[in-house]
Amino acid sequence: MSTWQPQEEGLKEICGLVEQQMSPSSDKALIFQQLQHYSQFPDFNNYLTFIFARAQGKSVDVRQAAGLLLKNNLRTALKGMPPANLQYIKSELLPCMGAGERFIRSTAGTIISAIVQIGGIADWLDLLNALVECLDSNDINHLEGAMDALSKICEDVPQVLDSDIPGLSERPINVFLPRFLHLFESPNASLRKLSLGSVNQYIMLMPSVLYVSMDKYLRGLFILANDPTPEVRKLVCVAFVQLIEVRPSFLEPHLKDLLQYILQVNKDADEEVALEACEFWSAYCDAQLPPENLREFLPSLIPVLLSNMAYAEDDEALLDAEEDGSQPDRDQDVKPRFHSSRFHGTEDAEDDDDDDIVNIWNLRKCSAAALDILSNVFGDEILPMLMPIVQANLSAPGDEAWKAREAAVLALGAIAEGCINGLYPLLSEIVSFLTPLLDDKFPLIRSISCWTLSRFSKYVIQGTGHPEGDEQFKKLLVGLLRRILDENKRVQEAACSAFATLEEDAAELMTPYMEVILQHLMCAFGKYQKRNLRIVYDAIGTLADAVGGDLNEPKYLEILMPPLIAKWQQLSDSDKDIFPLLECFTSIAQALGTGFAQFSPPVFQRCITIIQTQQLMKVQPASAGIQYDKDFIVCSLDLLSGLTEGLGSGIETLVSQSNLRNLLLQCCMDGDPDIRQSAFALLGDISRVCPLHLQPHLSDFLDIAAKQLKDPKLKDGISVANNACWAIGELAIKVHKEISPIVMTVISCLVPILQHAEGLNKSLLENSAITLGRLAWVCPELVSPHMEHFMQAWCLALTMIRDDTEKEEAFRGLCAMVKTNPSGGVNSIVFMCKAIASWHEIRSEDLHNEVCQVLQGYKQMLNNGAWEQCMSSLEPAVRDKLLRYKV
Amino acid sequence: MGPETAFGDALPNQQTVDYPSFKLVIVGDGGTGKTTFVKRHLTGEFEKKYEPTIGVEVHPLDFFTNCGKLRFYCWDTAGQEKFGGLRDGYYIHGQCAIIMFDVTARLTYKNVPTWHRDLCRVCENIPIVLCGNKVDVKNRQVKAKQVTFHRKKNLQYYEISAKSNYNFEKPFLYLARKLAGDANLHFVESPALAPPEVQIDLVAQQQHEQELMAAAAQPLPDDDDDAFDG
Repeated sequence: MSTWQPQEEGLKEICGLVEQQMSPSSDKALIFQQLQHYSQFPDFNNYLTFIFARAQGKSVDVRQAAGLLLKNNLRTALKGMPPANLQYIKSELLPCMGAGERFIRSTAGTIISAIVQIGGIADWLDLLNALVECLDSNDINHLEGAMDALSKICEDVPQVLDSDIPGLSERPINVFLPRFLHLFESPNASLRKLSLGSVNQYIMLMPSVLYVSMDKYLRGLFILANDPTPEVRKLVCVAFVQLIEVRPSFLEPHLKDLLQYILQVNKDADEEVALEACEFWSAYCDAQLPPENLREFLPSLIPVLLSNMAYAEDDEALLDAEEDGSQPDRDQDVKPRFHSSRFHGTEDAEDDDDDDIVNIWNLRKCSAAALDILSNVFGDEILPMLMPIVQANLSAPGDEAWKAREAAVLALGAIAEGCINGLYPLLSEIVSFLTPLLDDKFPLIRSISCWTLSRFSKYVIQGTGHPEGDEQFKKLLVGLLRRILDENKRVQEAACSAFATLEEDAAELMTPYMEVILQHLMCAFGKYQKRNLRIVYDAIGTLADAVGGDLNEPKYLEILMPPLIAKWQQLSDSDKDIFPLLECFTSIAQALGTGFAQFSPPVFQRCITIIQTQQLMKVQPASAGIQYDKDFIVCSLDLLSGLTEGLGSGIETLVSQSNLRNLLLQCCMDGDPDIRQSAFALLGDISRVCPLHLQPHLSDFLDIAAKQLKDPKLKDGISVANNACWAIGELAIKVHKEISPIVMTVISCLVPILQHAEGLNKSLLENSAITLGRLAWVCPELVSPHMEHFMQAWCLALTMIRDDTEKEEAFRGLCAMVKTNPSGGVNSIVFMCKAIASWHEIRSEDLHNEVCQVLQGYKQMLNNGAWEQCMSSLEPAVRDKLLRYKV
Repeated sequence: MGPETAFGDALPNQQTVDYPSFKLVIVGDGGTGKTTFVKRHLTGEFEKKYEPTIGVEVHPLDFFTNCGKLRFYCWDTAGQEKFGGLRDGYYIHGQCAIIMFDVTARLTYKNVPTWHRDLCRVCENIPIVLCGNKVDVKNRQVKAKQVTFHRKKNLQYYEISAKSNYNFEKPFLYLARKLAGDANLHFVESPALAPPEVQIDLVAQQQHEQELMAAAAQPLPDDDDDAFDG
């Protein structure tokens, strides 16, 4: 049939090249060039085909490599290849499916599937015939080779076999599927695996031939359910999990048998099979199928899940837990972390999971996830089945039972939310028997107890306020603090993160224990290694945020500050370890307010120095031998913001004696958006307390701030625009008419933002609305002539803002504009009314009166019935709200 | 128990050492940091100047375990199509693998299934680690929670930073444990690693690539066209 024959010499050379490519020591660049060269010849791929299919004297490795190279070449060369060559390649490949060497067969399958993927199947009907012939033969090599090729086609392009093909009376899958199902019964494990895997690929597509053969498929699955080969059992579970996800109705008639089976394979000796089976429970619950069907299996299922939650022999956590707390962390142990620039407003929720735990997936995690889901579906109902086992496991004696004890504690944490109603009355018991486990000799029991207790912390906090509840809270708090000082790094980490949860939930309830908390945290601060040290910084910062001004007591500061200051002095200006310390000081400065004054001069000065040095580094990288890193500037700017916010006008002396103004202006003009973002936040904060110090550069600051608003859709720029917008508003209400030169530039940027609100972040909209209002308040004569263009969008944005002084100032702008240009608002009265009704209560009496005047003015103005018409178009709730403004 | 019995035998086609060695294949899209990652290990026999990967570069990396020394022959394969060479031909006799993607480039994660498929079609049932590199970059495109591929395929997943050395040893340790069949195996000393944050000269890289492509387009001096007039 094929007449092409290779030239002996070319064959030898190409074989040699392939051989050399595979050798670890050859000069790859040279051979690469030679291969590139040969690949320009039109029949290069014929040579590769020949080597793959017929080079009997060559090693299988070389033939396989030639085959794979052929496959890769075809991805670009197939289309446009001379038909004779393509014909040669295809016809040579078909017999390879039945080759005696397994790797030749499987590589043939790989190449064939690639050709089908690129060229479809309509031009290669010979393949279909050959496949059927092989499947119907009795030769195991032919059978396996064909199934190998088909399984790859089913994985890569299943839809190709389920399509109408000119010249064929039916779709290929109609021919193959019955043969696949037949092979489920083959004595050859590899054939069972390949055929089952191939059918599974069609669950999503559900061709009609599979639909009508569903009973046969399911019968086949149940026969294979107890297959001696683990991979086959795993594929059975994969099939059931997929079916329950996409076609649960097929399984309903068999549900009882199926659940019985899944339950049984959850205990499979092969962990991969058990893991796949365990996925079933979550899939069932996620598919929102009737829980009743699961109910009768719960008493058997729950013990299985619990026993699978015990650490497996090869879990990495077991060895990690042996690490000694006094061993310094290496670079490779410390995950890079980032400082996020200060932001004025509410940021869109970003998941800040820098938690490696989310990525570990094994039978333990999957079983715990299943238990969690079941507890949410069945609630307290599972407690009578679960609690006796948990209790028995918790009291299992001896070292060898530690994994069972650990899993019991994990189980309690997993059901903490789903079963809280039933557990709530037992809370004091739970806390009492978990607390001693905090001191267990096994570190992983100590760490899991921290986690589980943190899952109950918010309920413990709810119970405070009477002696027993307070006692429990104290027990929990003291227990976690003790673990913070654990010698084991994993326990330290778990304790700190549990403690952070407690801090956030408990807030000012922490205040009475401040002394002991600070003593423990600062002790940890002294002993932790690099990785966990960052967690302590976070815990201190979170504590400061939680208790605020309560921290401002000399006896607390005497514990807290000296170690931090010592660290502060020990770190150089170019040491990155200073980042978390700067962040920590930011939280403390804000919490202490004026109480931070005694510490502020050196802190302020150092921030200035760091910014200065880094700005120098940036322009003259070689001068000081240290690398420029913008995060030094960002962290320092943010700490200056924290100081300004905390100290208020107390910052003025420090600012006046420094060149902050110049540095800040430079930062506002920096090319890096993170630096600009923090710089404009600081500009806003400085504007609030000592705007006079900006004065000599005021117009520069205003110009550069206005510039940030030009294109807020820029992805990196949106947070910068947000902060710049806020800063302009803060400046406006301080410098009044001096803002005039930029008012129209800013308004012309803000209006499009308000008018195209969709998809923009909420904070930018709020700040734009506030700033527009503030500008209108300061310069009504400039803004009000343009009212008509923005009133509706602006009022809509104002409606979304909650009561606060910023909103008050925006409404002062509204009133001022209406006074100057009443007719400019006439067409927007409905929107104005809605915005006014969005106030819960206007606390400022004069603003309240002004709003009354605005509404009454319009009522008089629209005496021709238009006012009533407006009112009737408002919702009753809005109309009711307006009553308090005397209309 | 001596080291020789703890691991399998070295395979043909590899230069032999008197301790166990394994062929480790590293795959993934171009630019995900495979070469940078391998080159953090300073005991391997390689030069420090940058070269883009053409086809494959093989680096012998030694590790010291409680069961003795072991060597990974790391076949650092080209991620870029244009320099692919044999591509999956290099996987033949691979005993373990690392699939690398870049958490700051979504497409490199989307291509992971293809790398995995090609790998599994040549090397059946070998231990594989999925690595998400560049976690030192602030703006990630692939968040930790979005990485789920390893769950379906039973791979181990680690987030790494070739730049800061974060988690450098983890993939090797996992593979060593699997290959030795010993969950308690551990490294007894850390290999010398290049200090964090050595920057790679991107301009030099591009220039080098251009030179290579130009060289590949040139006819070879001793080329025999007649051999191909089939």
